[in-house]
Amino acid sequence: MNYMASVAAIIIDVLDLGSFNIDENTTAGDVPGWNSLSHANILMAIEDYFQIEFDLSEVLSAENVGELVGMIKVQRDLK
Amino acid sequence: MSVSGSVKGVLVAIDAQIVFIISEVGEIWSASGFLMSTISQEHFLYPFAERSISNPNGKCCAILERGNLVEYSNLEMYNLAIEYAKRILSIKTNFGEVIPIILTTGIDLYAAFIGVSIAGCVPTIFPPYNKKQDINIYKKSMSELFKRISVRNIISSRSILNSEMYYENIIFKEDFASNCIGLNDIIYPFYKKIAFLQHSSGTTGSKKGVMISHDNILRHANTYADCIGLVDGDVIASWLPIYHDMGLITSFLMPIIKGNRFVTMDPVEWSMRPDRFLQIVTSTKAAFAWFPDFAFNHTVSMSRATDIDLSSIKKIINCSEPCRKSSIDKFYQRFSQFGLSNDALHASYAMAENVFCVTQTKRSTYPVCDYSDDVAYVSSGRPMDGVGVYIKDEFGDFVENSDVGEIWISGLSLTDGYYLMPELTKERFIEDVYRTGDLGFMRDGELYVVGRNDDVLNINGKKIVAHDIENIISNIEGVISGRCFAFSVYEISRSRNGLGILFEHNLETDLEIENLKKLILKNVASISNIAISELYAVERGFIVKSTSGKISRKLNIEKMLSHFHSGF
Repeated sequence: MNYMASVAAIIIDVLDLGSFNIDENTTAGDVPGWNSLSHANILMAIEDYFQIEFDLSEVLSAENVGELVGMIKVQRDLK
Repeated sequence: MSVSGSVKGVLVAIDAQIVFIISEVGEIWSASGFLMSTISQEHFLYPFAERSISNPNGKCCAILERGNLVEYSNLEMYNLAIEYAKRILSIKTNFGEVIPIILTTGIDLYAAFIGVSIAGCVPTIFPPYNKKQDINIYKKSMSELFKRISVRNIISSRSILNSEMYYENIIFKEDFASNCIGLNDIIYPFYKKIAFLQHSSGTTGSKKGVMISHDNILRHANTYADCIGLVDGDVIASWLPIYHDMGLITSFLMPIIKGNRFVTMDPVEWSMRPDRFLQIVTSTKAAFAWFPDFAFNHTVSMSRATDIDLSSIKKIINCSEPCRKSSIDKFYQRFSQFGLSNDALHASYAMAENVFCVTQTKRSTYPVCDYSDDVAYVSSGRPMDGVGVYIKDEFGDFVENSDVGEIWISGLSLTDGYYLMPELTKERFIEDVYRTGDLGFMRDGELYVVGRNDDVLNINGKKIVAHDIENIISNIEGVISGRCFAFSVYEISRSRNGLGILFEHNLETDLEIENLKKLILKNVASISNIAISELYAVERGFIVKSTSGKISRKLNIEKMLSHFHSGF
């Protein structure tokens, strides 16, 4: 599974960006409309898609999309 | 208990009168030689202190901690607050000194606020540093603010701040167990003038602190409780941050004063898991909750709950400028199946300058709407007892026939203005009437709020000054200085207010412009902690300025609407 591509697609869909380049180094501040509420929407969409549940304190510490993807991989491996 | 012999220690004087002495062993003695022992009956926390003695095991609050709702009794809250008060007195703070509290939601946040006030100092709460912000900019702006309001001490946590930051003295909550001193049976100094400061949102050191007196908060808590029908035994549920007036007054100070239990959770956790809030309402049979407008939509969009019971809710109050009918409708449609009554949905108009509530709906029917230019505006209700509301035109004359004008307020809850900002206070508080800057109209005695009259933008319930954002952008290389425009945009698809930006530039290629856009997004997010929703590079001369060189907000919004797709 290409985790990065899936996460990028989810972010673009939730934020209704049309097209936008999102890579592992992308942070919330780089992306229009990525605020605390849309962050919650993104995380929930990721949880639904990957059938996982984040630990909130952990997921909030993610510095960029790459770290978020890393956490998804860990969660998926635990299943 | 009388004193034999002399007490050596630090003399604490007010207006050249020695009021009390902190002895070498940390005891507090009155100047007349008596060990001091209670708090003033005029203190706004006196009812709480009394209750802690008369009903020590009564439930004060419950806080969601690591998935569990942890109960705290009146006495537990009071004792921890007293530990904070003792600690503050032991470090020789000045009488009436402003002490900021920077803590996340937890018992220490509430206890520290109470403790600072009991110790004769002035508490004020600020949000913790957010990782999206640039740490250096955060430190600089807070440093500017703390210098302006003469901060010497601060209460925080090692997980939030470190001692190399910008304060003379940080009281870390983690140090309490080993550092509390034995000050028993104390009369705490009573700083009557200011009970606490309520700071506005802001992106720089220009945050303004509304001065709220003991009289203000006591009167307001009692009047507002009567207004909404709060009675003994009613539980108040909240996820609201208490650095904001809505959470501070409705879901902490009013219940503390009136003796109602409050149950709460961290706002960040709420944003991720709003169902947990609904589960708290269910398990505690909460009767009251306050939401900003966006929270109704966010809860609807995120909720998956199927096992909740909201029938205990007497009032869930939309407190925003403006309240939107669509938000209330969607919330009711989603949750009526779980027992939410249609007469539980209410609206309010509030601001820190009036402690909190200005108007409040009381009717036992679904919120009333009125239509102006095809937009449905929700009534924010009638003025609370003792509050006057006036609609005036730009010349300060009363408007006629329910026309839209600026909202002015007066009354006994009106505060004394902004801390150490006499010019701004003079500008906004005119002969005991406060000029709000909000636009609205009155119909059948009820207030309808429609927007703002000045350069304050309401972004998801957070009020920010447009100039602050425009200054950030103007300082970025590539943007023509002074040629940018910040505005609030209603995002229909997400049912919330976002931040929009127009800017003029001196670049030539599309790649340069795209890179500049990325830089603007990043800088605004890191400095202001606000994400831009819409960002437009416009040709030179697009942004309209008045002859005096000021940005014309009205004309730019009209021009913006005619040029770009937008969901205003």
